[in-house]
Amino acid sequence: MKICMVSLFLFAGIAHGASLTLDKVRKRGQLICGVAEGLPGFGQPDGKGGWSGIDIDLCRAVAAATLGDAKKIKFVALNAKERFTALQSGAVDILSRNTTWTLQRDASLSLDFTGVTYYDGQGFMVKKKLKIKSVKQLNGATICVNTGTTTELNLADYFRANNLKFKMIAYEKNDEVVGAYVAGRCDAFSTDQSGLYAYKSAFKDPEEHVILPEIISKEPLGPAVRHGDNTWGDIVRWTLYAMLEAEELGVNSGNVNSLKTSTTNPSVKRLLGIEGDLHKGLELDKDWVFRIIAQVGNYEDIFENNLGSKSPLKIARGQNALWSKGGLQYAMPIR
Amino acid sequence: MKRPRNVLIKQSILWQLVFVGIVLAAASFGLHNALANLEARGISRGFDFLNVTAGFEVVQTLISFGEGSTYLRAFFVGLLNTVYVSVLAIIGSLILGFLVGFARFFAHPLSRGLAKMWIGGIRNIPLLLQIFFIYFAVLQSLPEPRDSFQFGNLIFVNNRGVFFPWIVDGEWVRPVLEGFNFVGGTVVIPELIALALGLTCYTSAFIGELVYASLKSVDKGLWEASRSLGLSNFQALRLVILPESLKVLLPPLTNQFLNVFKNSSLAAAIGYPDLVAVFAGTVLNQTGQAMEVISITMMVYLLISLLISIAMNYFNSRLARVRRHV
Repeated sequence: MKICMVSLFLFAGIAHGASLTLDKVRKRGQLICGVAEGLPGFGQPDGKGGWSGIDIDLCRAVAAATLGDAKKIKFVALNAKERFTALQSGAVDILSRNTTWTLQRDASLSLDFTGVTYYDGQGFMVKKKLKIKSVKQLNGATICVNTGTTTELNLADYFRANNLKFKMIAYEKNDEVVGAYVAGRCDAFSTDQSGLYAYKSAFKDPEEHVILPEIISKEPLGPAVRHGDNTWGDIVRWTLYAMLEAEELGVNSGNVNSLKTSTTNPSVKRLLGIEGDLHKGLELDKDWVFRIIAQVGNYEDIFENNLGSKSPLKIARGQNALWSKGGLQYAMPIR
Repeated sequence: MKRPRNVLIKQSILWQLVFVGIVLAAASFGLHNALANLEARGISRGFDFLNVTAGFEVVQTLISFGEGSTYLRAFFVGLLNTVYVSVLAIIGSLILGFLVGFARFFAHPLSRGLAKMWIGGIRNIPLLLQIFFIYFAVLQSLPEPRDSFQFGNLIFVNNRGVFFPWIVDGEWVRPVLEGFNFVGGTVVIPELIALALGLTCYTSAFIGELVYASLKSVDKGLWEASRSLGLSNFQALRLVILPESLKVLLPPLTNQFLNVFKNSSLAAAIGYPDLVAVFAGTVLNQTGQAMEVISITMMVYLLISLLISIAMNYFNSRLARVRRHV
């Protein structure tokens, strides 16, 4: 797969100019979205031939905005190592795969991150019988991680900064990391905390494992597009903002139809394209936000369905609450 | 109509030149296009990243690797781990392969049947599955560090590996349980055991079949001739049959060695830090230099495979020469 991706560079044509991606997507009639291979809550096959997760819903929202139909998507499962090359080479239009926004990735990989769908941080899971309460007690421990992620670097930095010794074993796929942790090869399993909750919920004996309170890194997860196609980047950025703004204004998948005809709130009117011509700058039509909310939902809808109270993960909103409720989620004004 | 010989030679040279030309043109087009693509997308390139500090840990290093070590050093750590497990597996599969080959060659039905089963079973199951099986079987069956199997308070076996005393700074140091795990002495990690064992078993089935075939290929008359000289069966095998059969055995054996070396890249799946896991995995991801990292990795595999081939060819030609002198 890696070699295929590299050879794409060898023989792919050179892309010129701006928003070719939108044209390409429209011509194809389908959005191609790079997603996780299987991470509960973020992106995983749902067992019925479809996909589910918050990263999946972001792609569906972009498809609803640009193509008018949230179902016009092809999902491409990418592992941690393949993902950037797949985006750079044009194999996918968006990368929406629990990917951490970092300077190195933003600047030297020729990508643009367009927002944060989920504020995460790296955490640790240990077996309850070890009676460990804090990461600081992990001196000398063996820790299993997934290779090709920011996890390896954070881990080394944190342990070094705290003068702790550790051994790291890095596996290529998450399934093997989990398998090795369960078999006792390592004392702790480290990845993004949301991921830990996801795996824990799938264990046979979830109550035998504890997730330690420390978060050792900032992991803002969000979608990325190719650098240089600014219009396309704007579309993806404002798709997420529109979903956040909708939550803030109380517009959700349940009431959007009735609000469209009855609302008198000018902000809602602007958001749903009843007034103004904000859609023109994005090269989209008036109803783009309406379709996103009607077909996919607002941010609260997609959070609760995939990660929160309506999902097996039961993750609290925490940092991902709206700014007005003490969280970090803040949409730039839609006006 | 029969064309003169020199015309045929000229024609074949012409075709070869055309072919080489096409290959070179495709390669240079690919290279230029790749560079232009990288340029157009503003992706930084070049090999400067090799001097940047790596800042991650590796569980098994044959050379020192730690804080401040560069990506280049990580490359050598991975390369040495690849060579290490390959050498272990080549030696192991050679020994086991010869045993299997002999067992299959001799007339005793039990030994023959067992060898046949071994070859038939092992050869037809994908190597990756065998490695997973061994790895998780090894992990599951071993106790946690606190409940280690121990041998005379010197050697400890648990699901973190086999710990035994080793010379550190000129003194023997015994492994001691401290906190989560044993410290001091040295350790063979389960990943290495599983990978070396998996490669050894898998390749031994192929080598066993080759050994059997090469023994079979020796003319029956040689057995009879040795016996009429008064040699015992063992002497006949050692002095006459084996040297004869090596002629047939060596070339395909080279292929098996190459396979072991290349198959060792399955390491990444079970967390053994080989070249692919460390360099084409962690380093690639941290630097994002996919083109450079994959090119270097491919070149290294090519180079070492060629070295193995050259060594085996040299050995083969020497064997042929010695035989001619007899």
